[in-house]
Amino acid sequence: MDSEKISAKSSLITADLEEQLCGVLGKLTGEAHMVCVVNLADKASVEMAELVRHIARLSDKLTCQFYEPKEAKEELPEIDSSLLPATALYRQGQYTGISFHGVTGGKEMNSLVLALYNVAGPGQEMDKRIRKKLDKLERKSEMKIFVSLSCHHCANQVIACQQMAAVSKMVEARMIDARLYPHLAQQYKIERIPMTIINDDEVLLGVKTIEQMYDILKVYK
Amino acid sequence: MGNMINKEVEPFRVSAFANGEFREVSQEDLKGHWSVLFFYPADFTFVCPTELGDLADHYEEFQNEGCEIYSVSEDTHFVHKAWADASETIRGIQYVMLADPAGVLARQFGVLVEEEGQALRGTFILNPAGKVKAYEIHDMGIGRNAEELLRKVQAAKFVEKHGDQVCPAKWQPGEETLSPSLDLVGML
Repeated sequence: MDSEKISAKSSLITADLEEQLCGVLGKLTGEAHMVCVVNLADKASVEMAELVRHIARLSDKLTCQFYEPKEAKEELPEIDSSLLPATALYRQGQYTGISFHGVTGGKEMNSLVLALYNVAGPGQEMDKRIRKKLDKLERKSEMKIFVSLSCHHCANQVIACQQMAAVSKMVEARMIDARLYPHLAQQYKIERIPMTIINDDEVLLGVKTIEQMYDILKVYK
Repeated sequence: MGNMINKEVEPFRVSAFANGEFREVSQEDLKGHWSVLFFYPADFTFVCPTELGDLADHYEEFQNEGCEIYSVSEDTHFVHKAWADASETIRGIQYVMLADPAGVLARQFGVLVEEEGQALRGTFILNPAGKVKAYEIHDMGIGRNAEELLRKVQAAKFVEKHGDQVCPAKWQPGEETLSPSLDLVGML
């Protein structure tokens, strides 16, 4: 796609926030790549594309790439291009299982920044015992975390799920802004958030610890 | 009177009118299930029957939530009966109508207007332990909405079960994207 049209100055990032972001992104030890599937005729897509491009220019450890839905469907089947904007994180050319559907404004900026921190490194600390447990997961599980951008509990749940995805190939954690996809809110009867749906089967309400979520994931074999 | 949240209902025993019969109700009857104490100024007034009728229309939904309704006024149980005899709306009420002529309950919940001997329109949601989890107090003429009360009971039950780690998903289509905020203290 013609990504030159996408501004590298997001209206959602103020000078103060940019300074804070530089402080965190300056700690990155490795690289992360953001892939953003967008329809530039859509306001939310433009907002997210500009946000991603703006963040990418704040660190030489970050890169970004933009796709139209049709291109992405063919080249990046791992990304759900039906929910736009969709942003997925890659490490060394591999999809990490971390993605965001919607604009990571409000509290979800914390989720995006920590996901980058966890993918590129050094990453948040994780108890070695839990890390070993995650290594033993036998089946790939998908977690959809429905959120609202104003909900701080939601960001904590997204962060925990995506931290699991950052260390385990068996975990996929997708943030979904329920406001943007009312058909999904209706389909999954979402009246309270955060709501995490595991493998389209188990429903969790509220913030859970990584250990609590592992106990659910380990059942899937 | 200060904040009522988590105040436990104090001992009381009052007469009541329910389904054509008189009975007594004490604080123990309010425990073991969710309860709503629904104070109103007086029988035979206009806003009250519309409020009480609205509540009666939703009574089954409250029961489905395991919640019992107790309306309370400073009338006697005999006046409640007379009102039911005179009004089709009141006759259709299936919940318990408490009689509080001595003002014991209205005083306990801070809604008694002493000089008038009437209660303000106070609504108190009590958990199964008899503790107030939500309440609102309106001036005499301001009516209440049973649907909104039902939503509050559901929310109170939800929080009791799941803790306060969730937010109501009350988004509106077309809302603007919120400006990002970064708060990573203790997370890196």
